[in-house]
Amino acid sequence: MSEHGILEGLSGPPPTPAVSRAATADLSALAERLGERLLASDDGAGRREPTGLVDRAAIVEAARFLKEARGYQFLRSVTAVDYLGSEPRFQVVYHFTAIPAAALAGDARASAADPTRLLCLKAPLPAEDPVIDTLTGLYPTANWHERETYDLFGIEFAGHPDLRRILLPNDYEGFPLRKDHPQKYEEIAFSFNQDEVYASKPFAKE
Amino acid sequence: MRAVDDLELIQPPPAPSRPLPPTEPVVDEPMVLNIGPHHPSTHGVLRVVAQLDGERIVSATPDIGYLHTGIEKTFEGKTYVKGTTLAPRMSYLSPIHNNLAYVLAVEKLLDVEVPERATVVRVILAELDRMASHLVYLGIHALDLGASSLMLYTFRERESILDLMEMTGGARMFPSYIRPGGLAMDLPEGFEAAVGEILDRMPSAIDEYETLLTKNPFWRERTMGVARLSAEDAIAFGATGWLLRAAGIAYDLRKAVPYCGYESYDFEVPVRHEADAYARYLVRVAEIREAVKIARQALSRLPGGAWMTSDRKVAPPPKQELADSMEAVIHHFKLWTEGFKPAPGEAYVGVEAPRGELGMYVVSDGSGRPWRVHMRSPSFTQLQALETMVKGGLLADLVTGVANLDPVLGEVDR
Repeated sequence: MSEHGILEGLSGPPPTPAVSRAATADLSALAERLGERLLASDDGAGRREPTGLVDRAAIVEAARFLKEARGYQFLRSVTAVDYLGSEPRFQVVYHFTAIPAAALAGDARASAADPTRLLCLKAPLPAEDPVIDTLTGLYPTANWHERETYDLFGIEFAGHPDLRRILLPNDYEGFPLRKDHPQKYEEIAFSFNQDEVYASKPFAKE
Repeated sequence: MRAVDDLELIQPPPAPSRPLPPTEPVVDEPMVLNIGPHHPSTHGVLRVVAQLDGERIVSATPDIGYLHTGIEKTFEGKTYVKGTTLAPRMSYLSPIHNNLAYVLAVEKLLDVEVPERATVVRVILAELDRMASHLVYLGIHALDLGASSLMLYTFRERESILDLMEMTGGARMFPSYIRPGGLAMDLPEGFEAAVGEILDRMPSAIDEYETLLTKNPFWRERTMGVARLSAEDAIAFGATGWLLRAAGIAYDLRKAVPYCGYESYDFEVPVRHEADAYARYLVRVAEIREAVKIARQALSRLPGGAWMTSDRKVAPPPKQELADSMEAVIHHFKLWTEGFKPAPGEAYVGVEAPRGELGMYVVSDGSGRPWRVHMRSPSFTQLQALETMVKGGLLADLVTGVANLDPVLGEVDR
């Protein structure tokens, strides 16, 4: 093994998916449809998937438009980010894919005329009232993704058929992926201090 | 030899004269059966709450979270490079793809160029990882259905592949060899020959597995028409990978959204239309063959030269520079204490992991630690489809259903 490798030249392509630009037209169509309720948009400049910041009241309409009019039949992921300290505090992040018609028919070859399109939508939510409408009616896969987001961030999805914790135990208190959730260690009891330690554990309250 | 008279002595004692308890009235409601979390066919700690009407499944609700470690929170306290070690631990059957997806997302944030040699090595490792993961699927699936011998064969080849992983990063399962900007170090001597040897061996090994299963009437009986998931349902549940491809949809991120230069390799995306467990088996076997093809192409084009980016804000300086360059010492110190700092922004990268789309969503606030890391794991998403796949089938088909989804519980619970 030599250390010289890192001194030599570069030839590799940057990790840029060329397909990102294909969805820009969809974002403009969404802007036309939503008007004021598309709060901001970013075409990603060919580096990232085009991203739209949507008013939370319009998220279902936006997703329905993407699914039914623009062919985004696939919801990749739903998650959230906690920007503690700025307002609105939370952002729910949705990633969509439009699988091209050729692939749906069983042909995997990428075509320039009908490429795979990727799009991202985000909805800001205020800290005191983190509620947004569910997408489970449009995308059944949102069911578990939204439950996970509820479990870890405490964001409520109005109209969700089964909104309860999914990864954590039902009696868990707090939402651990929030930035103000304490990261504490479980204190270990020894025989000399077990009364004191056990008194601070959740089961002592019962 | 015992005499016949002796046998009569060990007859069961006569039944007691107590009256039999009254028979229970027949209850016309389904029985609830907990399968798991500690059951060999649940692939870890998956609990399925099944409602049964006789042998028929009325509903099957997965209950998950037994392996939840809060790995997404752990990421927020680590520098980006330390995350490289953390990401593979989510999925113990396809660690290279977790490693790769995380590194690609971080590289997208950094906007750094990766040397060609590193990219090609990543492709070789990713395809070896796919083979190893599919071999586990094959062996364990057959084992779940009672054909225990296949596992001995598939694990033989898998072990050779894990030896290669050990050559790269020093660990069988989690080498964490792929780093932001390139690789941790150059390939060891003899690596290419060792990969070539396994690639030569694989096609005949796959033929061997196929002789045990493909035309085996028991295997067909247990898998054909079982655990069906139509194309519409697969898309609705967010299923990717071989679940889609066995339902006639040729969606493979290596073709659809290429990364690591996959668009320049010549390979097929195997597609079947039956959408049942047998079709998925055939798709996966064909995928191992395609992986051999891709790895062979990558091996033949493996260039020499740099394996790590020359960007000193990302890659540590070479050791010999530390002796006579103050700047190199400063870079080294900054990198190993604070780590590099990508510009504020976010990146989502999806790779075609053996189980489907593995997405890494990384948000940077401009500091040395990620503000948020989210993993869109295929196992988690696809486990939702279990009930649809097995509803109305026999209880024994639930085992086929779970084996077919091939969930890695570390990835489901994170």
